[in-house]
Amino acid sequence: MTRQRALSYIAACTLLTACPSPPGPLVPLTLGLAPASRDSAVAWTRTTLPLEPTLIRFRWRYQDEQVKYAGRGSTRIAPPDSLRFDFAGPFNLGNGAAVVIGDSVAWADPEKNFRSLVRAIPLLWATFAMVRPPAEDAAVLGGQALDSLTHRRRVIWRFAQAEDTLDYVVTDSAGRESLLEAEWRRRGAVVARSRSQLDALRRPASARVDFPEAPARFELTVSVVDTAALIPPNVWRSRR
Amino acid sequence: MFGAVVVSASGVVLAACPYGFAGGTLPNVKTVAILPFDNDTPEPALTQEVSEAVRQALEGRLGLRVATEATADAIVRGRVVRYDPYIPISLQAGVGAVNVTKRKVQITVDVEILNQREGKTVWKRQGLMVDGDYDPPAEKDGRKLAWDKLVQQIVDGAQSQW
Repeated sequence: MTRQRALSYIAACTLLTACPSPPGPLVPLTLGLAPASRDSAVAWTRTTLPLEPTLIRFRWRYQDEQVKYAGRGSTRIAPPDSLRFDFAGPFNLGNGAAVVIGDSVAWADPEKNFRSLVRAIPLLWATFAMVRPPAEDAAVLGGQALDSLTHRRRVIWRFAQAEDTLDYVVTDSAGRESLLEAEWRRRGAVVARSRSQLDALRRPASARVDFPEAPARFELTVSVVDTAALIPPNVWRSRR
Repeated sequence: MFGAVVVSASGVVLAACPYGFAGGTLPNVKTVAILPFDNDTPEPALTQEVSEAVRQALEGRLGLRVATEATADAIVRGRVVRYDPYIPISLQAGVGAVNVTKRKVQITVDVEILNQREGKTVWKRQGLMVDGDYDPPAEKDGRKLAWDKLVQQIVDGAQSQW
């Protein structure tokens, strides 16, 4: 190989390394997942839910190629499947609310504001360290792995439907720095990926959701988790 | 003549007093941060509107400055507890029906101003109810009147802390 050609190979390799590449899969292909029963998956998802109605207050930041916002919000959770999400932007502007029941948005007002912040409902639940049960027609796979170096146990679940696949990975370190990661793929492409840090009581502490195609990022930091919250029935109603 | 001297003297004394009439403030509070109110109602717009009313009361009427939570002397927080937008107040008999010609909105809020440097509640009202009439369907006009009343109640409440 001539010196000139060798240099061009090195330059090409350097360029390839520097190029931003799409994120690798959350669950590596080499990790064998075995078919599992839907019931066991549902039972696992129940362990991620709070036991009582819970109010979570948080600060949030959103960023895409055009805009950058920050604000505050709150989520009221009535287990097992209802959530009201309130948000307010800087100076309390750009506010709104939405009610999510299971995987559906019951109402959002104004809808545009909510959709710009929350682009993936299953990952909204995961942001608050909760996992929705697999759809009735989803293929369920599961597995466990132990990191020999950190001794951290990883529990992995995959809920696969015709077009959509949801992967969940819980990295448990006995209550300290436990993580819930989630990934939503549609027709093989990653739509969104979330990473939620849990506190010692396994409640959400902070979270980040990336949307690689946009690209966009939503981050939140929890300030209060109130497990004695009373949720008045009016919060679920829509005015429209 | 003596009367004129007394009047002049009192004028000088008043001019020398450090008190003005430009509005009052809460004790030891010059800056406030307004946190988003919890909203227990199905109307999301109230979150922003109540913040605006509180800001108007504190900044516009009481002369406080709005600051970030980290630097403010006090924080304002609260909750919109209830919203009744269609209370009828005036009816007109029609043929086979009754028309509501005037309605009112009624908004119930909890408000608390907390001096975060001293860790003390400066002012707190729970179940504060304000209302405003409107000609249907101009519900927003009723809300505007209700918020104006809230502004006045906050100002009156804060000034009662002197």
